[in-house]
Amino acid sequence: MELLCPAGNLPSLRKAIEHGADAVYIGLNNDTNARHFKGLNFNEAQLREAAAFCHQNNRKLHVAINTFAHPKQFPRWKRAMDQAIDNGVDALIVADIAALDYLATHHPEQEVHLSVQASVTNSSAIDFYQQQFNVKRVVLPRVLSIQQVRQLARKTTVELELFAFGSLCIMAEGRCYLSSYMTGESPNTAGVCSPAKFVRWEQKDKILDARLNGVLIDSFGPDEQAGYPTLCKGRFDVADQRYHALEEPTSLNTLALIPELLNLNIASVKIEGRQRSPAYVAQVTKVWRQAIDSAKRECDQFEVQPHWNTTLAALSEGQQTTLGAYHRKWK
Amino acid sequence: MSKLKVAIGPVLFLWQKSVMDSFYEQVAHSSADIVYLGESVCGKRRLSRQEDYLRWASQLSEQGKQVVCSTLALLESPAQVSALKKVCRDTSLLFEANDLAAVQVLSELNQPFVIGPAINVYNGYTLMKLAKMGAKRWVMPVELSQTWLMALKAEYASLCDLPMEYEVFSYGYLPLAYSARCFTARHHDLAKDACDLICQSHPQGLKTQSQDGKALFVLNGIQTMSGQIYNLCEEAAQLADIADIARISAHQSEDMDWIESFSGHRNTPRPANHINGYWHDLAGMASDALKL
Repeated sequence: MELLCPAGNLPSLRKAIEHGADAVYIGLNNDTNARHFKGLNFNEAQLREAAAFCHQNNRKLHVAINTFAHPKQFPRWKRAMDQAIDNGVDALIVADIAALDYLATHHPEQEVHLSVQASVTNSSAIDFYQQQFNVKRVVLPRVLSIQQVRQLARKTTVELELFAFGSLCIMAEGRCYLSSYMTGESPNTAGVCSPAKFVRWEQKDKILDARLNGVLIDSFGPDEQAGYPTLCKGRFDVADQRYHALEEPTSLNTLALIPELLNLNIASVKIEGRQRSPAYVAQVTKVWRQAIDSAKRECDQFEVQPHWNTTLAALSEGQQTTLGAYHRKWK
Repeated sequence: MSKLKVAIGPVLFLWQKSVMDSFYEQVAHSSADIVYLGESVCGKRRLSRQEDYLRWASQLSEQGKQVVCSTLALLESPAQVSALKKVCRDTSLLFEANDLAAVQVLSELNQPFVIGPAINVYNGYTLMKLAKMGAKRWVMPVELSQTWLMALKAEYASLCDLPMEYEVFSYGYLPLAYSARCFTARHHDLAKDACDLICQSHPQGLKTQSQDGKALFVLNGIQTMSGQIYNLCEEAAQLADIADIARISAHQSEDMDWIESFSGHRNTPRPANHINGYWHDLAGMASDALKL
């Protein structure tokens, strides 16, 4: 089971590899990738350096080109894919049928992984992408329970990759337009969710309001920790209740599931967080490397070490973690 | 300008069977051209059964409506995939695929299909690929605009000469997201596995507002919808120029009154609290007059 870690820049990529990542995933610094954040991601020279560094260390480099091409702009997506292939990356992470079709036709030898943005949650949809485009691996959205993952793993011959740790996206990825509803920019169309340029903080007396394009996402009292106004993690009024109507600010943490994931022959566990710092990547990678190695040595005796959870909780949104949808009760 | 047809989209809320009976009775006698039938939101909802939908389908066909059977947008279990395979075997029906699973199943059966708004088609290449697999009609994702539609149509025409009908979600609460979690059950503090189909007590969803009182979302089970009604009534003439079908997604039977403004290509004044941002390349919640 591969440990796949995020990198938004070269220092993060080096940290991931130094601390035990088997593979690293990155994106180019344009809107062909679904984490198109300012000051983040790789230009072509950095991409070349990233591939060289990974390969010198016998690790793999995956490149996410996982937004959907706009009409008449496919050449930009094609250029991004060609660039990545020319630089010898090990896998492309792709969501758009147009891009998948291009790869299957023009680069049939290239290893292709189906991005989580393609929103595949069942065996027939997997069959579609496997038969039409020969994808080798599918990244599953964070909406399935572990029972449902188990059922899929039994049924399919495709490799499965799961999100293991990091920010929790509670919607079927690739099928959420909440961000464009509020700001005009979504992961599918612009590679962003709740983009920072629309965020405004307003301090009034002791209350701190967090707004996204003018909409009040949450309001924090002096004793509360203010979090980034990701729109699905706000506190809203439903009927006569005010609460986190969609989700609390919390992170996914699946350390406890490692033995099960090994048994299911899951190909890769993915750490979320290309937008996070090199120090974050280093710490999370280190914990997950230790945990996977420990489970591989003695799967039956595997126990989550308290200090692993302490480290991860300190790095999590709102210092809280959850098993998310993997645990049925979360739903 | 060809005549703009009007489609009634699948009912997205969980309504009692008696309500569905009278709703489809009214639709049958309306001037709508096309009717989408079936549960597309949650696989657990079973107040209406397959035989009910078939009965409504035959009543609607008798009144000259084209009936399209809508399928689930989020399939998570082998049982849901089996049910999809079973229903798609009926070759007398036209289906709306709302997940690539349905595209796979229907293309294996050589059945033509409609691409629903929950499938990610953002460019002409993708539409061409699906046209070759049997797609006859495309319902544009709700977040796309008039300019996007025109560019996509031009790209498709340059790549492919297979006929394609273009349908635009034109009225109703916009389906914006699907989750593993049921937000209606969460509101009632119920586990999804023991939800008692609580969403039936919210036949127009659960209104969600910001702390300062702005309508943000409507929660509808696992689906999150726009907080306000999307309405392209002021753009009916434009729509008729570039699309074939306007979809009305009803949350109450009175919504049927909007059929005439679309089928007559009459630009009707939009109620002040209705929105149209997406069509004009703005935030979805905006309206072109306000430019939020």
